[in-house]
Amino acid sequence: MGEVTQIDIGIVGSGPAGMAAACQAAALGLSAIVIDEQAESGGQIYRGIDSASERALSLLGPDYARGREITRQFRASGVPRIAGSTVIQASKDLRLSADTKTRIQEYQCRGLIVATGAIGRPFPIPGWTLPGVMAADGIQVLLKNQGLVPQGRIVIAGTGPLAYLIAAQLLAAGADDLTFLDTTPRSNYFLAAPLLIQALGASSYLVKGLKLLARIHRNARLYVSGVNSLSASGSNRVQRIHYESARGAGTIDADWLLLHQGVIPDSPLLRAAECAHTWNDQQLCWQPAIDAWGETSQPGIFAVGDTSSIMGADAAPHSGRLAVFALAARIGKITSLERERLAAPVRDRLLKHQRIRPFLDRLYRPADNLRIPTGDTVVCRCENVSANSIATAVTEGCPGPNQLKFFTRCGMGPCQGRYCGTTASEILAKLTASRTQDIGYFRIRPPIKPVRLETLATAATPVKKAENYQV
Amino acid sequence: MRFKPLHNTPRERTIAFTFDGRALEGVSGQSLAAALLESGIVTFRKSRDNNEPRGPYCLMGTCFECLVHVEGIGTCQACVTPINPGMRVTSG
Repeated sequence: MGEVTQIDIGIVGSGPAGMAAACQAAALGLSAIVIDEQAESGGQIYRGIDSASERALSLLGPDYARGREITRQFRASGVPRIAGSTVIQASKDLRLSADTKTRIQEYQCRGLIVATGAIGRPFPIPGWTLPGVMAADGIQVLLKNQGLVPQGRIVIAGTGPLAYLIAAQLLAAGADDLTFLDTTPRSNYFLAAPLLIQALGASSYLVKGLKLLARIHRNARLYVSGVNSLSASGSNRVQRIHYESARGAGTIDADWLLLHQGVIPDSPLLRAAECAHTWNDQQLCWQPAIDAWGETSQPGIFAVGDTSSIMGADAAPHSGRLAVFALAARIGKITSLERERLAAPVRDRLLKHQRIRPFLDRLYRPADNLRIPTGDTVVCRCENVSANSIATAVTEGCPGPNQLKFFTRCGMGPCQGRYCGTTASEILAKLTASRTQDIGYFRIRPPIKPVRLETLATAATPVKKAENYQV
Repeated sequence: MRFKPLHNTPRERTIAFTFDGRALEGVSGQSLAAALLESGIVTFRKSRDNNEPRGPYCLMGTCFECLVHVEGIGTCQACVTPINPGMRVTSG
């Protein structure tokens, strides 16, 4: 049998928000533990930072290199980090169950801070299941973590700051045949313009963005703006990319298609703990409902950083600290007066970094047809469920995401809906002329990632069934 | 087409493993997905039901497209599984 460890604060994830929360907890004299699926700390943003070569550091730029100091501070905090362990359940009684790959280790906490970050937004286009079509942010992981770059003809398609950053990094890494298909809808530029004034409050982001775009224009083989339709084809692997833009259609022979249209919160752990979620109409994603401290609808469970809403690596640490202040006051380490005093400057910094968000969200809002597919396009990659199958299910009377599982198996594969859930909600909303908020999302149950039965059998307490089963 | 190390930096590929019987080498500390991509392998498995080729997509442990079978371990995500000497890997 596994053991149950008692701890003040259980933190899931060691990206910028999780690391900052850990440092703050240690500074306030709280006992804390960080559990992370990855071998090294840093999250996706600072992936591989502690083992990166000097060459890789200079190539990936100062925003990445900065992570080394952040992971150093985190190690100096003395907060233990359980690496390579996947939290498969966060329960309402504030217990974390982690799969160490050999057993289930449990932590009974007085507060939980979920800093699991974000995942790439699904990019369901025809042919996106072909080998050689990958998430651009995944390619960045290979670059950061393994120093690997794809050879041959690369097409990056998508929109958003990360897509530009990855293109610029691959160009700097020696990719000499790179095409950028920019899917930012033309109308976004006009719609975002009024938000620019407020964004000037965080102008360093804007300057960085313009520099990246200039580099792509200078070094890419081809840059196409206003791409409004995209598909991939090939036998056994991607060979051709077809696109349409305001200026006409084109086909590009390619070895790799790297897709990116923003990121969305990765919150299945919170879903499985039955934390309420709301649909964010600006960021077009689900996010946990939280208060000003990051506390979800489940008392004692906090969401911070990109898990709470997409805010970026510079804002995330501040959100992590706020959650610790709230928990420290509740546990009795600080008074509520001290909590307010500590929080005020942190909240100011958080707001400052968030000033750019409305502008970025509007400018890089992905086009409807690239989020909400039709026809044969695969929505659920695990179970091969197409947009057509979902449409058929709706005409047969399927009213929502959970029933969609019965009708089609959409969302029932090993990824447990991570790569189709948002798309399914949006398709159902469109087909039934409903608000996405009203359509809802798949019901997520623990364990939130596949776990071996022999591992599960070591749990000190059984992994609990969610209450209130709904169909 | 494969993945290559940054600036073609020569690296010692000392970890011998097999994929569907093919002898391959990888770098110590590398993930199985990275080692396969560096070896020029992009199809890791066939999809259930319709038998289509599939390869890694998210490369961060989320999408489960890179499932392979490792002897002695079972089905696992190639992108989060480190390679070990002598690993016998088959399509997932």
